[in-house]
Amino acid sequence: MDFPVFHLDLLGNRGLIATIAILHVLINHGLAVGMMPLVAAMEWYGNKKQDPRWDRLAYKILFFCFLITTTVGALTGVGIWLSVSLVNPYSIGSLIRVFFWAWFTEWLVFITEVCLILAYTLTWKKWSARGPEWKARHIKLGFALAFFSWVTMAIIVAILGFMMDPGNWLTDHSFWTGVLNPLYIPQLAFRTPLAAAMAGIISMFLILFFTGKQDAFRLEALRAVGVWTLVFAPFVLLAGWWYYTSVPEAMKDNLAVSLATMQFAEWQNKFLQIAVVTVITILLVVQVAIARPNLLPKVALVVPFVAILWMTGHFERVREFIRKPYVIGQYMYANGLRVGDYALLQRDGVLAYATYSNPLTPAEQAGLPAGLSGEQRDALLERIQKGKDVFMDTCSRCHTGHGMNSITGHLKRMFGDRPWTPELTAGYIEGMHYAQPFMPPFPGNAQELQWLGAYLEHLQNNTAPIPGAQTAGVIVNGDAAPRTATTDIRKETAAR
Amino acid sequence: MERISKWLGARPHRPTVINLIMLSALLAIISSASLYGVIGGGAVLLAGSYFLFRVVNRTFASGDAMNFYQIALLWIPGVLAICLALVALLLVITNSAASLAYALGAFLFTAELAMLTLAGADLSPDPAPHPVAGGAI
Ligand code: HEC
Repeated sequence: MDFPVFHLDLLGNRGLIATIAILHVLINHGLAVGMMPLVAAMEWYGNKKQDPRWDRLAYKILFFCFLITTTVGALTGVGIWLSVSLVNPYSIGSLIRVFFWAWFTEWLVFITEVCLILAYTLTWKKWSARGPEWKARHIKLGFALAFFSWVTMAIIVAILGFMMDPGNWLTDHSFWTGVLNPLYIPQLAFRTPLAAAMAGIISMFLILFFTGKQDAFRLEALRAVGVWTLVFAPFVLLAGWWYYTSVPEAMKDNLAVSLATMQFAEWQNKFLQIAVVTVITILLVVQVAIARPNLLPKVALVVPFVAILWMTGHFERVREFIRKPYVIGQYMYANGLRVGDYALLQRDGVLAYATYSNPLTPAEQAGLPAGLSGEQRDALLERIQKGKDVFMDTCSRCHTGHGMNSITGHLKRMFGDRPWTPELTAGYIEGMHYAQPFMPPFPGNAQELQWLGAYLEHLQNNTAPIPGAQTAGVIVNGDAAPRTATTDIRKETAAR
Repeated sequence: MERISKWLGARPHRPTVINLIMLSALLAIISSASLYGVIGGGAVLLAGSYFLFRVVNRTFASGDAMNFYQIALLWIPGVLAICLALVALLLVITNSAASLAYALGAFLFTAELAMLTLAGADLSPDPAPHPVAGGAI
């Protein structure tokens, strides 16, 4: 709780991350990791056959990818880490401590990748004109670019796998056990052919734009890229299966409750079904592209692409889901609090360790019960203020007030229109990690539970969006802050 | 009518494909899993053996004249069709007639049986006026 709380009350913080991340994964897998080897292979093949049509096509596809990856791709790539560190700086803090050198290497590899794609695209025409020796050099540049694109993904996937299940790192805390976490290799094995198959589908789509209808080359190109895609499709299924069977092993430790296990099994089954449907649609398109390329319409290629999109989205969601209630498996909860700190927080309360308070805006103060005296009003507002701080520190990473996965929506579904009194809600929140195993246990003390209850009751009568620190600012908790209730505890803590 | 019969007559495999489509439509309507399995499986076996016979012949007949890629292009359509037809058959047999999986399976089966027939026809010794693949249906 050392950072002000960034909060989006409509989209939700996770919505922000998910939007950026999924866009990035699609661009990164489809247009970089899978596409660069395909483009380099096309250039190589065209050179070998001395067929300039391959060269022209490869360059057009590369240029398209170049435009998108260096703009939207690079921005969303940085955007993921920027948004994650806004929303949950604690998890990024821990990850940086474990993966410092991985990220440092990633940075070097990424810079290299960017330089290579610039060089590869910009020297294409010049080097090709300089004769076969330079052409060969240029092709090598392409394969180097393909390699570095893959390495950037390979490093990041280690971190993603770690967040799902740190494995033995939990006991021995070494860098390499963190990297070689149980889900790393299966996930990398799944993403690699997926990227290649995605690139195949996308480039078939581009071929239909970049070649003429009557062009004999269009058929030849569709067939060749069809074969490329076909080579990788079975591996998507195989590695998907491997990943699918490795996950429950990792999951076992995260979730012990049978309800969640059942729900999880449902998600997993759905993932498998979607993967099968996706691979079948890919195979259908490939089949037509090879047997009757002249009959392949553009819309036919949209179908497997949408299927891949659907699968990727579901895959990323399951990945998220598997980690719940943790952001780093069994080490840190999604609310940014470390499992190891819980005993201390539950004894002293979270507010004792909160550096900032999130002041109620005038709009948020509306809707108090009528007929209160000035004194009663102030006392109530103070309780609501503390409740809001508890909410911001312990619930707001996953719940909004009135937007996506909103707390008011849940309470309304559970308790309807009767007043959501602290007596009613506190009992639930105390055991919420049993009722909904995706939720961490409530980290605060009994007093804070009552304050949170008062705040939730207030939210029933106040629908103003909850502003984050980015709009409402913060008050630094200290002796000058309006609230001093926690000072005693802080003094006591300082004395210890 | 005349035009249709002319179109059908132009390539001998066209009536076969139409017949197969009607057959699988009929099977889907009857919706008996065992009947679908036996007759559908038989159709795949028949069309598949024809394709395999042709493709093996063609592969050996050409000797060294074809490279690996060209041979792959010969094999892929038919082999894919056989695999996908079997997956479709599995879908149809293991799901009840009212389900989405059944409908998708029946559709996939029809398409793949047609593709398999085409793949065999493309390789027949009396080649269609069009080149091996890439011609009109
Ligand atoms: C790790 C993220 C996370 C945190 C932190 C979190 N929740 Fe939840 N909560 C969820 C999820 C996920 C659901 C289930 C959403 C669904 O099923 O649609 C949920 C559901 C709920 C529900 C509805 C429960 C039900 O049985 O339907 C309530 C009430 C709730 N949360 C309250 C809270 C409160 C209060 C806090 C803070 C003390 C909190 N949550 C913290 C993720 C979280």
